[in-house]
Amino acid sequence: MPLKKNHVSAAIILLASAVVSFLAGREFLLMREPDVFYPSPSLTREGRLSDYFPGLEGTANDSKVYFFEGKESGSTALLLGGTHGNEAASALAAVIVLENVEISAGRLIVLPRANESGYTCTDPMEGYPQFYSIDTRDGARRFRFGSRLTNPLHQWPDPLVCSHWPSGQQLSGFETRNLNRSYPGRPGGSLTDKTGYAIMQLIKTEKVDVAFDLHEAAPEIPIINAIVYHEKAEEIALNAIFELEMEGINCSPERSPENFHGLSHREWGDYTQVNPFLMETSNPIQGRLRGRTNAELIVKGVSPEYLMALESGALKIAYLPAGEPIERRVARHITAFRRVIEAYNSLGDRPVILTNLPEYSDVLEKGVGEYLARGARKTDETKKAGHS
Amino acid sequence: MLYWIYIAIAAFISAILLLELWREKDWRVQAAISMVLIVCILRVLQIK
Repeated sequence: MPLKKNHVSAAIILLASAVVSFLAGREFLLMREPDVFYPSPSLTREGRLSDYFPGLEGTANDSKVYFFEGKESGSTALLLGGTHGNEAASALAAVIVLENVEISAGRLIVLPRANESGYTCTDPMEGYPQFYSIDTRDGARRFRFGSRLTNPLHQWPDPLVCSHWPSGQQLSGFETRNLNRSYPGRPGGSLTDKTGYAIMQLIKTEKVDVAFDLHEAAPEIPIINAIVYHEKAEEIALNAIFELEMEGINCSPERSPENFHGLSHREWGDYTQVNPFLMETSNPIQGRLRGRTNAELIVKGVSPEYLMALESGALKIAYLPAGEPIERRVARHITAFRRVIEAYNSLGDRPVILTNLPEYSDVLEKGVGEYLARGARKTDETKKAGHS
Repeated sequence: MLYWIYIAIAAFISAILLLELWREKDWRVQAAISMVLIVCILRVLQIK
């Protein structure tokens, strides 16, 4: 029996659909391959978040935790990058610290991908690129660009209203996948809740004294180029901001609101002994006015649309005429991290002494890639040696 | 459990779309159905 005409067209279209599904699926699956990091020789051990909460074992968010321990005893610092996968400079700053830091006193714990699941997808309707590259001395090194939220494939469905535990605060339903609305987390909750809980357990178990959560935000958001601090860490924050301002790096102090729950700078401080800080830089790709959305915007941070907004004077935005390149954003994060550690050290007798981290001007002049070069070289050597 | 409910819903919608595409007379409508079908297939496979 001959096929009907519409069945022939249906077969052709189905074949084409299969090809498109294969090609698109391959692209999406590439995002599940984790970025490779090359910790500095000061690394003393590696762990995983599931070491602090076994319920995370085998999930997308069983992220790696890196420990650096000095010869002399001192306090313990924790650095989180990648809470939000679409905030590139926050993750990159943590990677640069991870790959360069040397430590002589105290301990440093680095969690460069706090919400690993967020790196396996991008935000819907935003047109975000999946990757961006940083030029290093040894060639381009590629990093994933992810989503602000946990991948819905790992946590479904979103409730109509996100009800924060234990405060009962209500937010939009999708915020249930936002790690920085999930603290203090709970072991029986969603994947994001469990991740928040594991990070809280890490802070308690390792007796962390000072902790950092690195972020970026759209230029039109009021809290930009700022350090948000818990009230118990006010003296440290203000001392650090004073030093930053003296260096010509504008930075505003933002005290954590006491009734806005789920955020690291609030719940880490309320539920544990730690002095928490959250840092924000200006990232045009997150903004509503950004125009063309591609990897170049992540790295160079140049947006003609934001320049127009700046020149019009109609909007208060944190955007410089030359743009907001990743060098400046990463340099700002690393310098603020260093100044807060120094301020913490000056107020106590158990210092964390970190060295071999680049200064603000170093990163601006030499570029971010200068401090990632060893990783790229190792990748090439691995390829030559025939290892995957 | 929710994981399998999600997949079952996506698989059910995919099956209906497939049937509609096969029965449809106009190739342009078939093409439109296929665009939705691609998304559903990627959902069933838990790729996107």
